[in-house]
Amino acid sequence: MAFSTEEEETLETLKRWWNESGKSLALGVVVFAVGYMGWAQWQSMQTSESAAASDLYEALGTTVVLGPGVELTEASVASARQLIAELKEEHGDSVYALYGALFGARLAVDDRDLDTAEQELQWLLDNARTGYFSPTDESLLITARLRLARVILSKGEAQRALDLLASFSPGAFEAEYAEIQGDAFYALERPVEARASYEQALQAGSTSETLQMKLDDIALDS
Amino acid sequence: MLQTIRDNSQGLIAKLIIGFIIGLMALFGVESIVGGLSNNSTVAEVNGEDITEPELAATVQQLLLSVGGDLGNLDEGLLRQIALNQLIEDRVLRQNANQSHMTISSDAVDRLMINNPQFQVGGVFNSELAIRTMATQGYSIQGYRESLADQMVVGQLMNAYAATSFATEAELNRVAALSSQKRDFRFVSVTLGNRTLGEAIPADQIEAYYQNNQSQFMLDEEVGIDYVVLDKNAIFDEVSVDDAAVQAQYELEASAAVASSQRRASHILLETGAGLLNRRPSPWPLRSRHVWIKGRLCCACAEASADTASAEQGGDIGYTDGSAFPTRVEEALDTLQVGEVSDPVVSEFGVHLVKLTENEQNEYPPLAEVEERIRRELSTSQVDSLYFSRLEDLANLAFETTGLQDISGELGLEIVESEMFSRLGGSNDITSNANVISAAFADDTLIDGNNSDVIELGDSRAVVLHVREHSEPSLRPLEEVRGEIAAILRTEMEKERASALGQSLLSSLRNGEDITGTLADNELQWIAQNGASRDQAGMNGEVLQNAFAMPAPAEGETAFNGFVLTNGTYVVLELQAVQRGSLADLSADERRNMINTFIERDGRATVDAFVANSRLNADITQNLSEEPLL
Repeated sequence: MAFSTEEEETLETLKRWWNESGKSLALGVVVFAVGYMGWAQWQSMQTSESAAASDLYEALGTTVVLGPGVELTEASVASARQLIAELKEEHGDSVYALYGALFGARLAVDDRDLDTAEQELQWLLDNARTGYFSPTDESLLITARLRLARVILSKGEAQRALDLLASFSPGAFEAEYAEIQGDAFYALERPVEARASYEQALQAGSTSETLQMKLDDIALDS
Repeated sequence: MLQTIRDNSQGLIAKLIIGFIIGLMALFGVESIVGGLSNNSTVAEVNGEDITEPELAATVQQLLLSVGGDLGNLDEGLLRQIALNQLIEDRVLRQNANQSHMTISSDAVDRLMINNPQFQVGGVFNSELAIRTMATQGYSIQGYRESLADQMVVGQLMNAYAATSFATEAELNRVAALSSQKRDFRFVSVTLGNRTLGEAIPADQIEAYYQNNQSQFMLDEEVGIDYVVLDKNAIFDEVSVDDAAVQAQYELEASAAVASSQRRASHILLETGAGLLNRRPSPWPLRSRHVWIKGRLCCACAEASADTASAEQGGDIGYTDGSAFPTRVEEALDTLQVGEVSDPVVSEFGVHLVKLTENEQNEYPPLAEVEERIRRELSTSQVDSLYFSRLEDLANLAFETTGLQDISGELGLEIVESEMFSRLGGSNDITSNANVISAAFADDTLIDGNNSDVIELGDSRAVVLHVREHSEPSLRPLEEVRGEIAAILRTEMEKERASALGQSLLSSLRNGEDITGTLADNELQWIAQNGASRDQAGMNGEVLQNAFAMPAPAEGETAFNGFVLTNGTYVVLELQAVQRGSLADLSADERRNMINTFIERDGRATVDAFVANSRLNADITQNLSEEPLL
């Protein structure tokens, strides 16, 4: 095959260009490819780790979440506990372990074991992720704190519940937050503050059927 | 400038960037760079993720299906807003799940698909059915799996909030104490009566009330209309179908039915020329001797056929309505009786021996049996065409003429006069129709005095109207309403008197005075209610509510309160005792009910708050075109 002079020239230019900058170009491609593959590998490891936790959580859901009015058998409670323990031990940094703790708290309350319920919720808060990289969802933390406050209040430690409530802001959970606060004030026999909290809950659009009754119960004489 | 770019692009960094771009294109294709630029009209953006118009339209469709309505009856703007809201919520939740690194394993998706009854035949997963079902729903397999995984992950998220709610013993006790408590109380109802009987109501008060409350005595703007109705049902009486037309229709149907008769045939194909030699060198030409014996076509012989597909079926080539096979073959079939074999027939495929195996000749029922139906159908189509042509005439006449006389004359429609009615509508189905009302009050008809356009009421009636009479909104004269005002003022006076009496009773009671005398003077008495519950049957709800809204009195004391009911009655109530309810007092059923209600509400409230909070923290912009909501 013969090239014309013009083509020869182009070829020459190309060769020269390749000699001058080909290596750095190839380096660029290699750096990019390695970087990308490493990232993809890391991602897929994360995903399979998370998928394993997800399967456990799914099994937990099928065991515990039943139709309305169906009661849990002892056997299913036991296997649910087993699943929760496995989630917490083997997938402690997954969000599914935190969800598992919520279920654990519920099972404990069903069992009237408020200490265990408190431990479960506290475990959730202690193991939540903070910081810039994928911090635990705010709603989950608020939910856990509100439930923790309810458990503590039900144990009769109203002041500690109030302190806990004072330590965070409720976001869109204001109605629930204010009602629990009212309950705590009521337990401490501080009717004026209880009333104010209940009114705040009412204003925040609470759907609680007992809220109005609670409010009426401590209504001040007009 | 180009030179500058060339100079600048020599550096190592520039080369790295170019390498990066090449790598990007090599790995992800051109779309990774170009795709970001293409624009499909977006209706909202959630944390940088677009929701597009087609997605919204699909969701609106689903919404419509789920309510089983059609768009005509619903406000489309509102519907779109609801659908968009749903989409945004869905997107927020999915993003929330992704941010928390929630995933669904492909095993879990598999399990769900295999257990989906939609994909099962007789309880067993059928992959063909699955693929077909997905396709009809507009999904590729991958797309379906992804959307399934999305749904599952949102389900997991919801479960975490809803299914973990609980009710502690202390909380349930508090609820029981409140909701099942009972109260003892007694009350006096000071009803409106005739305490002001004989007191004149001064004329100047009536006038003042009239002046200050004119809006109460306004008469609405009203119209009276004339209208004509074109009714399809009335046209049925005019139409008669002549016997010849019935006969013609019958013959048409009968011949179509006969033409749909079917024959079934078998054949042996003998290929000629090169095809014969190449494909079937031996030994069929020898065996085919049997074949030529008319009436002896049988399975064994059929195996000799060059048409191997039909040969396996004993030569069967299926059914024909007279056009499926080559013309020559069809002609041969026409002459055969069932079971007979034809002489050799030549077609473009080769030489056939054809046997007629089934002959289903459709027979059409005699005229007498179907005449009734044909007559009805013929008249329907005639009525329809008459109706539509008159509808057109009606529209033209309504536009061209003023008043309804001409329309009535030409189309033989009776002019009906309506009563006067306001924008709320009149009393019959025409004057209460929303389209008729809006046409009657339109400027074109009301002010310009034109006929309305044709207003179709369903698909068998149409109306044209002309405004006959119109009254502006007007204030009713004082004389006409004097009595009404006197009654209103009398009621006010009675209410004041009742309240004054009630309040004096209340303050006497609070001061510890005896009110027996006052009660007797006014023919009033205490009504006692012991152990009333919150939903006590047979009690005035307002009284009950007020009795339970009072703070509990101290032990051994009573509390008094007074309040006005909506009917003006003043009630003085003495709360004597409150018996707190307790969880222990409840029956097992009541208890279970209470727990379930509590947990369910708590779960729902948590989920709602969770969704609201997620939306609060998301960056959402909506640019749904604002349509004027009616």
